[in-house]
Order: sequence, then structure tokens, then C-alpha cells
Amino acid sequence: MTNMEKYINAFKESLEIDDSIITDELAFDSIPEWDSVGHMRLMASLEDTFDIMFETEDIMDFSSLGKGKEILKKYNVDL
Amino acid sequence: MKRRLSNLSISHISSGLPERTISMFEYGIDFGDDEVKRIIKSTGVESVHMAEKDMCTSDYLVAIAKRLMKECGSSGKDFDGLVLVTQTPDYILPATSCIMQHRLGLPNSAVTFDINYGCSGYIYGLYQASLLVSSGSCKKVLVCVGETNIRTIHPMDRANRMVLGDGFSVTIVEQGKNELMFQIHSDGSGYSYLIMEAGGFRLPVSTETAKPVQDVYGHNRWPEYLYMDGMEIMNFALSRVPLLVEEMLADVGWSKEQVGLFAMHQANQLIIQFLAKRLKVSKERMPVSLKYTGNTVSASIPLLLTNVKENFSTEKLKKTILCGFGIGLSWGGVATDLSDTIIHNSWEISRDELVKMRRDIND
Repeated sequence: MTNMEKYINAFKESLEIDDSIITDELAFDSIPEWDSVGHMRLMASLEDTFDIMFETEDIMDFSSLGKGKEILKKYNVDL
Repeated sequence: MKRRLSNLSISHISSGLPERTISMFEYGIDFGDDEVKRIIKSTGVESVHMAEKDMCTSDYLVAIAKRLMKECGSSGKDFDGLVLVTQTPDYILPATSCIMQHRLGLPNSAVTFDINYGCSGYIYGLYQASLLVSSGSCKKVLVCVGETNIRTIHPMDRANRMVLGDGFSVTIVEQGKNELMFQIHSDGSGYSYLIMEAGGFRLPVSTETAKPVQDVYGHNRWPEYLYMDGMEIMNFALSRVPLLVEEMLADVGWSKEQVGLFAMHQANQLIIQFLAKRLKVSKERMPVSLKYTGNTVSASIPLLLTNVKENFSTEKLKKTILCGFGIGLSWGGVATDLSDTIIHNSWEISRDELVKMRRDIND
């Protein structure tokens, strides 16, 4: 599985959503599943998937699927 | 604020829960079964206890304190201080601690007061009681913590309804051989992130406050009920708590590996797991215990101690860190030795017991 596939999979599994709404524009609070509870699960899932630990400000800045790609670069995760 | 207080003992901890329980799955009717399952996976809460509608914070705490006194062979006359930490007092006025003084039979010379704090409240209560004892003002103080939380939550507030529960605990602080190293912090710039906005004197209850308003995310919130900005609270917890624990360890001179138990406020399962990861502490030493109680706010730390005590030997409890964080915003901790503390089994308190107790004390 590529890193991009792992990244998308983390969204699908932690937010319990399907492929049809996965785009770079998918944003926090744009769907009921990505609320603060979903956000915690998503962050935990990404940390486990890529064996990283987010800085708190990155958890707060992680506002969309697209933005998350930028943030992961800081942790040397090449998507 | 940092303070080392000596010649103290946290001698007894006793906790109780209302007999009535609510399964989170019952909320499937309001929020949908899939949504309920999704939230349970994050919070770890499957059911909570709920206070009887006609019973208040002091009813449960007086019942626990009376049973504790019986188990210790003491009576109200043996206590000269009572600190009540709650966000759900019996009345706006007078102080509920005063009512409890009477109901528990503490002498009129006892000092009693209410502290209005939530998830950090157990630490604030221990700190205040420790100050009273270490200053020589009191010999034996009851620290009473707990809330009837559920009645502060709007029925359609999904996030709070599925994590908060009612719970109560009484701790005795008296003269002894131990040191307690406290750290206490507050930051009122975040006051609006956890708030019950209406009902005080800045925003009295009115027909307007009964209507929902929009929060910063565009969701409904209800000014007469508890509001929590989940994202900001997560930000606060992850920013402040690891630093607090590291500072406490440095102050007390313990390595992280020496600490047998990190007893954290049980906000929700994921927050505790995030904190454990950031502090590089195993889940065994930073336990989560809220599956059947939920987040019981000021009572969550003593309830945790009650629930996990069998897993921690006397040796492990010699170096214990307790840590609370939440409304205010406020956070604090205490590093101490709990190896001599008698942690009593918790019990479920029925309405019949409370009715009988109230009758017995002619209340």
C-alpha cells in the first residue's frame, strides 16, 4: 500500500466514510463525521499509520484533507 | 503556582455512583445507531450513571461521607473543615458546603466553603484542604467532589451527552507523614470554551436564552446548558498537560520511570491515549477507566483510583501523580505518596437509601 493509499485509508476508517466524498477539499466540520470527535480519531490513526507524533498546532491546523498533505511533509511523510 | 506542603495524609478516599444507569446505545433514537457507535469508539464510554431527578449533589455526597465515617469509626464531630468542589450546587445561595456541615454533624466551628471548579477541581480541593491542615487551621478536612452533570446538558447536545456522567467522591485530608507537591494553573482567556452562559448575573435566564444560538462552527448551542468547544479543549489539554506533568516531575525530583501511577482526569479515552503517547508513559501506568462511568468531571480522578486500585501495589502508589484539567480554563496536579491511603470500594447509591438518609437526619 502506498503512503497515499494509507493516508486515504486513515480518513475512511477513522471517519467511517466512503470513497465518494474523498477529495482534497474535504474539510473539518464539512461533514457530520469530521467533528471534534472524528478529528481526534483521525489524528490518532494518522500518527499510528505513519509512526509520527503531531505537534499540537498541527493537530489544530489540520483543517482539510489537502492541508493534511502539507502538514505530513513536515514529518517526512512523502505522499 | 507551585507549592510543597508537608506533614499531611490523604488518609481515605470513598466514591459512589447513582444506581440508575444510561446506556449510550439508548441515544440511538436521537442520534442514530451508527453515530452512537462512532462516538463510543472515540470516547470509550458505553454507559454512565445518572442522579435521580429529585436528588442533588449534597444528597449523594452526604451519603458517601456518612458511610465513610462509619467505616472509619469517626463522626462529623471529628472534622473541622469541609471543602466542596462542584459545578452543580443544591442552590445558587447559600453555599452547599454549609448545608453539608449541618447534615453531617460537623461542629459550628468548622470551616466550610464551596469551590466552583470542574475537571481540575479535585486538585483544587486537595490543595485547599492541604493548606487548611498544614497551616494548623484544621486537623481533619473532608474534600467532597461531584456533580449532577447530566442535567446541565441539552438533550440534543450529542458530544456532551455521550461522554459526561454523574459521580461523587469524598476524601479525607489530615495530619500525617507525607508531602504533597502541588502545581495549580489558570487561564481565563479560554473561559468561553467550556461554559454555561445563561443563569448568572451577566446573562440572566430569559425567553431569549431558552433559544439556541450558533457557535463559531455554525452549530446550535443552548446558552442555558453546558457548552464545550471540543477542538479548543483538545488543544488546551494537549498543550498544557504534558508540560505540567514534566514540570511536576522536575519539582518533585522523580524520573518518569519511577512513577507508579499517573492518575489523569478521565476526559475521554482518546485524550488520555494522546497524553500517554506524548509523555511516553505506558497505558498500564496511565490507565483509562470510564467505560461504565463516563467523564465524571471533578470526581473522575478519585473514581479512577477506586476503579484501578487492585492493579497497583502499595509500592507503585508510593510515587503517584494526580492531574486535572478543564473548565476555567484551569489545570493542576499533585505528586504524592498514596501507599498508605485507604481507597474504599465504590458503591451504587439507590434513591431509597437517599430518601432514608434524608429522613434520618430530619432534612
